[in-house]
Amino acid sequence: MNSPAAALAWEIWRKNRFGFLLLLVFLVVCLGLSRLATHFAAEASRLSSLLPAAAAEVIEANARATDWSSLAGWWSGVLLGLSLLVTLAVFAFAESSRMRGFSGIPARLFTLPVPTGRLVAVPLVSGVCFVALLYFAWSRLVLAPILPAELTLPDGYFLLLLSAALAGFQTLVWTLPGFPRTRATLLTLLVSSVAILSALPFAELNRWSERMPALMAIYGVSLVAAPFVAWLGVAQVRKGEWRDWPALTALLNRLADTVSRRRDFAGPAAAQFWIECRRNGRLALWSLAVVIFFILGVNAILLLDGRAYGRASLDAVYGPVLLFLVFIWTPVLGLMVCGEAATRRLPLMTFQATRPVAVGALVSAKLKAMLVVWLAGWLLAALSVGLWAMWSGQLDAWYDQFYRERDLVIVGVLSLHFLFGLFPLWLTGRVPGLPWSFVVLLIVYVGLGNVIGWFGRHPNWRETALLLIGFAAALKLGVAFLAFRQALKQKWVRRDFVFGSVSIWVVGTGFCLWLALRFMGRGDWDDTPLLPLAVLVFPLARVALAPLAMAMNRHR
Amino acid sequence: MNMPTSSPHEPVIAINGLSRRFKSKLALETVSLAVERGQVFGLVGANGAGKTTLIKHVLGLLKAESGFVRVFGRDPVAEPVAVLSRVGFLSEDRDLPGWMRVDELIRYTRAFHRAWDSAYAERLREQFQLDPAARIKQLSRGELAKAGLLVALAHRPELLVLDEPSSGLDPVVRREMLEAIVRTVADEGRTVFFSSHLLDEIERVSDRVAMMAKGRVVLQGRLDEILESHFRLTLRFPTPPPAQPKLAGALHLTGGGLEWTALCNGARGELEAAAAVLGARIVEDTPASLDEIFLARMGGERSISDQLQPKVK
Repeated sequence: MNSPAAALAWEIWRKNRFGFLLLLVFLVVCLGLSRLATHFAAEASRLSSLLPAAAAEVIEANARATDWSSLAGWWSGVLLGLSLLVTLAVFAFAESSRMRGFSGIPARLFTLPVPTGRLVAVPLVSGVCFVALLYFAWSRLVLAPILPAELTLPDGYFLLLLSAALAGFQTLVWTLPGFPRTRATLLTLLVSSVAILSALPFAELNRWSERMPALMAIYGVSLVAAPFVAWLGVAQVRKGEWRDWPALTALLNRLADTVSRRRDFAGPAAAQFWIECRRNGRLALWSLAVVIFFILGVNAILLLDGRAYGRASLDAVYGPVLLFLVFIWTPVLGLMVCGEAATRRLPLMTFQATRPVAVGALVSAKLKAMLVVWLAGWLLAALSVGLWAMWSGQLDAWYDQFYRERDLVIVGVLSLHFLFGLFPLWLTGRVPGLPWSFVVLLIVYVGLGNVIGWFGRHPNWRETALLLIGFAAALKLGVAFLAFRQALKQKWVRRDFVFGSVSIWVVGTGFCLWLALRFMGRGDWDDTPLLPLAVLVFPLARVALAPLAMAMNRHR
Repeated sequence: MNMPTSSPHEPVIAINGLSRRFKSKLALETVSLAVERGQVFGLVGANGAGKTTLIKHVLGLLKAESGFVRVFGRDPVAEPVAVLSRVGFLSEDRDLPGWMRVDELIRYTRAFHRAWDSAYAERLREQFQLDPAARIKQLSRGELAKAGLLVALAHRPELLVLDEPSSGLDPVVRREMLEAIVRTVADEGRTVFFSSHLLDEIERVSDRVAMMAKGRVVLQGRLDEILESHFRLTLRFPTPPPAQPKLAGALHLTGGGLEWTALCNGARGELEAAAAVLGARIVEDTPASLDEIFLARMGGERSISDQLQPKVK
């Protein structure tokens, strides 16, 4: 290591070894799945050409090929998405501080005799090269063999999009450390835009062949402009001239002060609830509002352009909002509440750990805050989609979504399940925070989805499925009992915590069972596993384990 | 919250045989000490000596692997509420929530303490010149320390635990902080347990001192007794000794040629006799400063550990 550039590149590698290893593991796993899916598809095709279509061997080979193809498709999609998020996190090249949130380029590097241009160029160029390599590895090794023959990936488009996205991400992170709110908003918009732009080549409604050259030109210009903007911005930060914008900061502070706490708290529980809501809730709701606003904005442009209309216009808003709300925002909210949103760390701050309250009070405050912010998120989403429906004349369709369609209720219950995610594990504070814990959570849920899907496709394994569900339900209740008993014995929680949690679980599970019975009555659901599954949905064991986990965090 | 008060004769902090290991590193090794009611107990040691680890055990943030910790006669891990409600704590890294305003911090902390004295808190805020509308993340290092001290003091805790309270502060702020601490003790007879590596600070305010090195308490006692029991002897030899002389009872020996200075801890008569055996004459006998005692003790530690190292051929 005899040059500053090599030292900077080494630092990126050294700090993110775990991330790079994770990327490799994702690739290898999906490569294996892709190869297996291809092998079983070839085997099914070979048998189909030799034997009649009704032959048992052919049916079995086709079923196996479908299973593996579905497995490979699911995991490849999810792990590729996660790989790109991990790549953004790795090459953001930022460090967090407990007091001031996460920085841009670490300020300690500004004291080294390295030109700003090189400080910017090393992570930027290495990041762009890495993301291009990553894309090629996935596209050639994993995706190409499992994609349908009629579908080809536009490599040039994706290469430019991903490179420009990474460079844009880095530029925003580095140039705006003094403007955390603006930066969070712009980063959310950037990631949302990239998600939408990635789906464009596969969407049906767009005029793809007309749009592609224009979009690629925009990405190219962004990619070329990003290093200059980043260099200018970092140079300003380095000189200390871009840290603050007094007039804007004062205005934002004044706005924030209008909702600052001016009354005394009724007691420790109220104070603890306030701090949990305040430190994570605002950021969570703000990011949700930004994404919803973005989705509405894109749709408004399409609507004004006269290309989306009728029920399709509501679905174009409702679908993405729901997807973001349930699969991204909700689990991230659960993760944020367990730690500190600004720093993305899970260990308890000393300031919090030394509050003279029991562990149960700390957990209760987190649970209450999490549920309140989650409900506020749903309300915000419902109102936004409602306003959109009113504006686009689709109020009846919006009303249907709430009162006549069962999907929303199921999605709501599932969302609550996602909210609790790996709650006790996160509360221990002994696992990494965002984005790593989110990655693990998604992997767990995709794995569960695969297992449920597999049993759905193999009805002859229903007995085993029921046995497994029964075992899981018994395990859940057993764990909850033991965990509550231990927490009571250690005086971490009071009896009312246990009573409240169990009561909420009984009511929630009753509601899930009632729903399951209604769907069974309609006859459009496979009824056997529905009831035991309904018992599993509402969280209890995770709530019971939470005080134990928090005690591990507080008393290390 | 009616917490039963521990006996007035019982130590406020009692630590016995406390050991703690972080992976392969032994952070604390059979540490035992007692802090009596109304005492200002200074914990001194180099960086990494184990001071913060010990304080975290006192607060119940770390569990004792062996030995025990009692604060007000209670286990701070098993009964955190009973202990922490009587403790005020200022942490070394001052990890207050950056997004809070000073007035929100005061209001928030107040909710946890029934004995919160609003008038006293306001007086401290004015004395420390803290703007109630300022955000914690915008405070300077000194202001941050003052804000931390304010919320640690305003409920008039029976025990004030300060982890490196002056770390990174300028002399003016250090003086202000120390004055506030001293006043707390003088006016109300509270107990203070604080760590520092600034020896003048320890010397100025402590009644009792414990010196830590490599996770062990190498010396503890009343400050005046420690100062009295250590002294500096200057020895003059008729001819320069061929190697460093070995004076029984000397903790540390420096010098060269004809004149050597020994920092001693023992009976003067025996040392004079030992000097006479070496053929040296005592030309000066002066009191040792805490700084010198600390360096001598740390030097001793180093040489002991050096002796333990296997010799490389």
